Amino acid sequence: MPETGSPTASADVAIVGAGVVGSTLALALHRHLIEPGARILLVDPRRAPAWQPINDTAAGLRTVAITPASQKFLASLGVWERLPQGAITAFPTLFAYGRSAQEKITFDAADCVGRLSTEPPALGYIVEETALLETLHRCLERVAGEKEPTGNASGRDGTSSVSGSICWSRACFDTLTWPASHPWAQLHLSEAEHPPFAVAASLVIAADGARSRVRHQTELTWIGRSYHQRAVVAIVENREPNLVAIQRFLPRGPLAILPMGQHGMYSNIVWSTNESEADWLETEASASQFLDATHAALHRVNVDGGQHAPYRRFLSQSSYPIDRRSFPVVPSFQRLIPSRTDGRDRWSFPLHFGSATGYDANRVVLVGDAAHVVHPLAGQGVNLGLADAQTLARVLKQAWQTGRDIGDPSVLAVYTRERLPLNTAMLVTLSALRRVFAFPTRTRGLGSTLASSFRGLGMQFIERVAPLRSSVVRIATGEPWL
Amino acid sequence: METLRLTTKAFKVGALLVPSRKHIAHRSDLFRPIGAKARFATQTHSEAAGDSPVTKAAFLERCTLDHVPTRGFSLEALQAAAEDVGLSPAWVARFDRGPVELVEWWREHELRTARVLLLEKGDWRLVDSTVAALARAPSTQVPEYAWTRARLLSFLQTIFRLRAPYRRFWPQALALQLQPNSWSQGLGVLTKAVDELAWFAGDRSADMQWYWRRAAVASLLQTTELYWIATLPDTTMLEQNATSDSFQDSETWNFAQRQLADDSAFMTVWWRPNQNLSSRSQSEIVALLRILGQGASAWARAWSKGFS
Repeated sequence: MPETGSPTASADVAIVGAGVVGSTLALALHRHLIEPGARILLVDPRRAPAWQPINDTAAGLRTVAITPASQKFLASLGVWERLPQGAITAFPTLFAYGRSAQEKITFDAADCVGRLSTEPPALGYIVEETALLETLHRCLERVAGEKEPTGNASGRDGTSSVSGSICWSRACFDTLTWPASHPWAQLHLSEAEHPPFAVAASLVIAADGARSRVRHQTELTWIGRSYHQRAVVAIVENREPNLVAIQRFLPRGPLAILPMGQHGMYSNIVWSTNESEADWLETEASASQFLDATHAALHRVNVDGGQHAPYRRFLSQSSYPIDRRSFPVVPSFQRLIPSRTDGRDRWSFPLHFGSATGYDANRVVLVGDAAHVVHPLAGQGVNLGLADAQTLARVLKQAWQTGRDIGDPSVLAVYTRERLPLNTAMLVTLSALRRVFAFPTRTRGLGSTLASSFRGLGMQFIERVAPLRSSVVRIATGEPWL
Repeated sequence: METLRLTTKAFKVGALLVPSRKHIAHRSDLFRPIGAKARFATQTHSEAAGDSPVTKAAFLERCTLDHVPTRGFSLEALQAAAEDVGLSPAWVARFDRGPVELVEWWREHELRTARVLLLEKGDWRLVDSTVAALARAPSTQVPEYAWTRARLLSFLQTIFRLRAPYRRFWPQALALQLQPNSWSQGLGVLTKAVDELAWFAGDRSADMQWYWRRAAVASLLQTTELYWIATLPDTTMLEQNATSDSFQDSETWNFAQRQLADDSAFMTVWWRPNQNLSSRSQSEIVALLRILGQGASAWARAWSKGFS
């Protein structure tokens, strides 16, 4: 396989990046691009760590919120049934509330109008990211191992199989070129202890995240902005089981409690806040201080923004007893669960948003975070990527079955036409939602009271008007609403 | 109040617009003592015959300075001034928008006067000594907030002390300017005043800060004006003239100082750091608009690439 000079290796589809979206797309293309089978090359040097059920340590601190639509897609690929049951938590209710007591709204699984009665009632599923990645990679390895020995995508040796083949290369992606001699694109990969080699690909799919190197090689640029905030992630153990997904919209950002574990005995905290407060929460606060701050943030009524981190000065006053809960549906926590991989019990990632200027270029198409990054307040990032993968798989299947060149601009344009408006609409909606709940950042008396009243009015209106409530749930759970 | 009248009368620049064609019977200077009527029939005749030597601006000036403090911004003041100059009361029909032209003339006049006093002549006698000392110091030697506050307060003091004779009738003036016929000219005068005040307070910005600062100054000017007319003491005009000042040690002054405190909204807007420097990222709304625009063009391009 490692060759220099002109490429002798070629693949029909090259997917750069084997995260959740990339691996799912590889499985979907393998399933759909058949007769003749397409040769799929997956490029990613990283491996997923092993997963074990959570008790005193967790495999990883990150979770993803999977909507029912994404769950159907994963089930159709045979991934969902292979996920360990301990990694999935179905939540039937979502409780979202704001700074004051009048801003609250509850969504129920019964609001999913299009749900069949045979399906379990769930608004969404919280899946540990480590388990999902491990399951996806296991499925890929199973598929790759089933093939004939020519599963090495090595040139046109005349053998063509009915179903395609997946080859997973652990090399790193370097550059992308479009030589004049060959109509296809050329990927230049490099691996440790091997000379760099090139692979010709009819279509290159960039699934390598927000800082996509493949996207940098094309003429597509990125328009985005950092929120100058970070999201602090931790796993805690509850005192009582809780299966309600909770989100409090604080002035600086949302604080989400996502149920985890088999019976909801654990929770995943995702707290989006300013850089200074995130630094304090992640590095300086002790475990008990972190839990106290979380408890205060969840149960304190009429929260204001404050000039400095409010929870620090609040903690010194110790005026909020741990057993007083203003919102009984919100659980209380007893301890932090560290991660097994690096032993840390808290982690943070920076928040930003953005979109690429287009989703397809010369034989390159962007999916997932390489195309769009949204605020995590509605857990939509992975779901948008999975919807991208589903659409792209369907589009490529139609083109492949009619014998067309899948790297053709007109084929890729179908994908762009379908996904770009929906993704941009979701991006704008989430940004607007964040701004609505962030206003005003500092308490200004009448202004913040009025804003709270208007927000509360809007939320109660949505809750009471059933068609509106079910439309919001339909949009959030990814069902086709346009 | 005598010093004030002398001050305002002493700066009648630009109001003496004499027509170019000299008439034999025409008297070139328009400064007639107050109360003197036209003594010769030829004078009125020549005024009626050719272009009148009494220009609108001069007439407005005479009317505002002499008759408005007693009669208000009204038709009576215009008629009294016409009678005073020696014209028929029907001449007031020349002002087709009515007494609001008096208001407009006065507002431009106070702005001109303040500009001349503070900038050209360096005459700070209408400003309190402490504030003037701070405002006259070079801006680099004084803390920024204090200097800006001193400049704004000195300009405000000059303007409000010039306006003192008209305090009783100022609500009438504002109401006249708010009417549908004349609110656009009133807005023009307000923008001129706001621009002047912002420049005087040291604003040399050339970006969005220009607009934000002038919006803040406009709100400051208007709220101070409203406070000033709302806190008119309940005395007759004689007693009002007898008191030392309508601005100093009054609620208006305290209000203006509160509005310009170091942690006020005004100072926050005035000193907000420029966020649109090239080294920093753009605002979120701009980024979202760019995303929408690029998305729309990419979507259109996708439609033009053909169908599969």
